[in-house]
Amino acid sequence: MMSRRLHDKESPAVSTAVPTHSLANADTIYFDIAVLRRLHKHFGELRTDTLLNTFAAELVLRGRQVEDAIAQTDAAALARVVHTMRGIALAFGCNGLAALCESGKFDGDMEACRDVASQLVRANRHALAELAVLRSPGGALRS
Amino acid sequence: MSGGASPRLAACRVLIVEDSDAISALYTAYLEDSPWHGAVVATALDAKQSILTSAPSLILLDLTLPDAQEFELFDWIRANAPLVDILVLTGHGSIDRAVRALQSGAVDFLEKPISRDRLLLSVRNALECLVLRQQVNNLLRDYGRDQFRGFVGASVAMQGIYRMVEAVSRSSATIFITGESGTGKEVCAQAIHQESQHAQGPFVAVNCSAIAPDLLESELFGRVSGALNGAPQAHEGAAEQANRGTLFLDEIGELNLDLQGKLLRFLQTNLVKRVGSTQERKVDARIICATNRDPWSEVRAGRFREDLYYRLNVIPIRLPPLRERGEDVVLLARSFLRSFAREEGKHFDGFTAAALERIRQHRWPGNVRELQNAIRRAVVFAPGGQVEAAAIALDPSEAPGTVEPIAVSVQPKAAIEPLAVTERRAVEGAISACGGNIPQAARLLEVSASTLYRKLQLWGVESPTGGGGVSDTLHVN
Repeated sequence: MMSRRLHDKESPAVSTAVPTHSLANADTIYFDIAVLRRLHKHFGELRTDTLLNTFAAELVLRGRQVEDAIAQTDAAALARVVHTMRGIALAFGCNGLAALCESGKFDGDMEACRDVASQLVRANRHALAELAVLRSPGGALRS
Repeated sequence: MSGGASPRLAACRVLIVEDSDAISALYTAYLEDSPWHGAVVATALDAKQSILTSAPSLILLDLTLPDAQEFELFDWIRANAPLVDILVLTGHGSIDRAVRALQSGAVDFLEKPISRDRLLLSVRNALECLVLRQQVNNLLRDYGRDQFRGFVGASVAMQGIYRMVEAVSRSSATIFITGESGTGKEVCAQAIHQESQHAQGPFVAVNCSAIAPDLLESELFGRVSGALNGAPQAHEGAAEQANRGTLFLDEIGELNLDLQGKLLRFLQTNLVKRVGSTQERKVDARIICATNRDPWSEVRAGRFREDLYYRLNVIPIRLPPLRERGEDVVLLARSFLRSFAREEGKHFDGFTAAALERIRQHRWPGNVRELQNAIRRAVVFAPGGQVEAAAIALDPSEAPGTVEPIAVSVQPKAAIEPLAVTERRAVEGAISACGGNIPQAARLLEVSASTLYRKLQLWGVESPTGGGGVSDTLHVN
């Protein structure tokens, strides 16, 4: 009975390099494949696709917000977006990204967290790439 | 999740306040097959608008929002929608925040990531608690009141009266209150008036038994100048005085048949004609009538018009006698004790167990008024402290168990007078001792004021208060 605010979204374009190792057997770096499979079990393929599209779109958005915060040396904005990104990542089993979000102190000196934030942007792109591979024909989520 | 959900649960609304599209989409999907309705907002501003437009039953609240400080929206909801439950969603390591939220009234908190089963269970628990709380509040409201609009009483019988008063006050239908003397008929009428849309208007009470029959028509409907001997001034009747308010006609059974016909016409047309006038005036008043007699018996005995009976008896309310109200007698006794002690400037520490037992055991044929008088006497004569059983003076003929012997002085036969004469002497003596104050004399004699007025009328004695029966009724309870 829940009303939906969101509409289906296209998967975002992934601009970073795909991780070099194979993901066909769920040998993932960022994702806990069990979480994604649970989603599939609960909601079926179509609905899970919709959810993952929404998730991927938001990861792209949050990655850009991290970049903006770094560019503007806005520590508060950075801390906020990293917190949100971590919550999103955890909700969809992207534990590798969530762990990275948690590893850095994002609420202090901007210079001190700039490097970790840059890593986070890269990890974000890699996670998106990993998800794309998992969802591709022959990927772990399709097998 | 929909199986077995109660209709009350299905009527619940859940608002998700979450700034992440992905997470809110996930929670929406989790709750999609649940019985309750839901909606999603992403900002504190949208949440406030949504809550003010239509308050949800439960809010799933992410404390981190783009347009508000951490607890800003939480505190706003507590202040502006205190009946709405909040389930806080927190990130890992936010236990301090969770504790703060619980201390501030959140029903629960969930630490992210939140699984489907955990979310559904928490939401269901929160909503079931909410529904139960609402049911308890409703029951307490409907069955747990120990006072209402001048009434004191928590008995089942009185809960029914309170609900009836609330229900009928929204209607404009005529109400007919019956009940023994001293059960609180005027209190009931005033309660209906106070609850009604006429509450801002006047409440005019007329004791029909307290006014001489030849004056009653002009008291009710008014008179023009010179219409009555010795009454040169025009007079606005009680019906007109009650315009846009409530007209309470007590002891309606005392009206003669001719006046009953005029009252019936007034009830049917809302028009009054002053005595001596041909002009009719429109009156918009709520009519409440009362009698301590059985009205249908009066109809069968030919003393009450059947058509008037049916016109009045649209909504009947029967006030229970005190003996049917269980522990209300104790509540009332304590209430009177507090009130009279304040009036008399004394301090009392309630009743002894024996005194309470005496109060419980008595049948109180004079109902609340009799109890009121008994407590008044106890307050006047007792020095303070706890009221002893002996201070509760009861009518021995109504006391349980054996009747205490009454001392009788032997007098010569020639000195014995008819009982009616003795009664009249007692009544007139009491009125005289009270400086002509009939309600006060009635209290001391433990009868209703209307009984005294009736007797005075029967004996052809003019009422010391001038027969102005308007609002000359006793306050009971």
